[in-house]
Amino acid sequence: MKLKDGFILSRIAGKVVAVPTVGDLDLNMMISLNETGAFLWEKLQNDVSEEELVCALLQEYDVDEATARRSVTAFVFKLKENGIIG
Amino acid sequence: MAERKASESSVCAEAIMPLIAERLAAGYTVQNLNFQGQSMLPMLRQEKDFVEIKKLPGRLKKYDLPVYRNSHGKYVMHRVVGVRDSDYICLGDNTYHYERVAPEQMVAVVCSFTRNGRRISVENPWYRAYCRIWHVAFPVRYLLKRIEWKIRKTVKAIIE
Repeated sequence: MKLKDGFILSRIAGKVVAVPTVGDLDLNMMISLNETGAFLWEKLQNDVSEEELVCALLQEYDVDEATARRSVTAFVFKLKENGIIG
Repeated sequence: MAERKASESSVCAEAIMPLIAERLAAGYTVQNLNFQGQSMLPMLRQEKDFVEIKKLPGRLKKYDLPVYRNSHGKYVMHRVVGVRDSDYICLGDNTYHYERVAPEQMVAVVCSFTRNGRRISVENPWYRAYCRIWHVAFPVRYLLKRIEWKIRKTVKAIIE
């Protein structure tokens, strides 16, 4: 899976926010990301699997596998729900 | 990890104004903008209603609802109730003092708003009627407000 085109990451008031880049700007479509969210977002610029995201998270952060898997699943679900990854 | 911006109150409109300005300049609208304060009651309720703004059309008309930067640098959304050669007179629907606003302070203008989940264009005839009636009723509203202030003051004095 991979991020669809049309979003950029922007730092607003100290927060990382994914902003739609084209057309009318719907502020409800802006997504605020925490540090790990921004990390996974960067990984999703390329075509990666959920398993690869879990591995990347385990390498980068001091978390156990169950927590990393839970985080990735929730993040991917959220992005799919908003039609941001295909 | 990821959450909808609308529920993120700490990222307020002020912080994203550069982004908004950039998108408006490109000719796009900005939707679902929220706001703080009670000054546009009864039309707009904080955290319940949202507005859509667009680039300024040039000269504003009476009853247009612009977003402008006031003298303290804050973004304000109050209605135009007077158009003069050199500036505009603005007034919140729930405020009682007029503000002079120079054209260069204007940033954008509301083109629609969402109330109870329903999008209403500023061209809607019922909305236009509301603007007129509400403004014409200003002297009566002001009088009633003064009476309310007097009563409150009297009650407070008695209690203290």
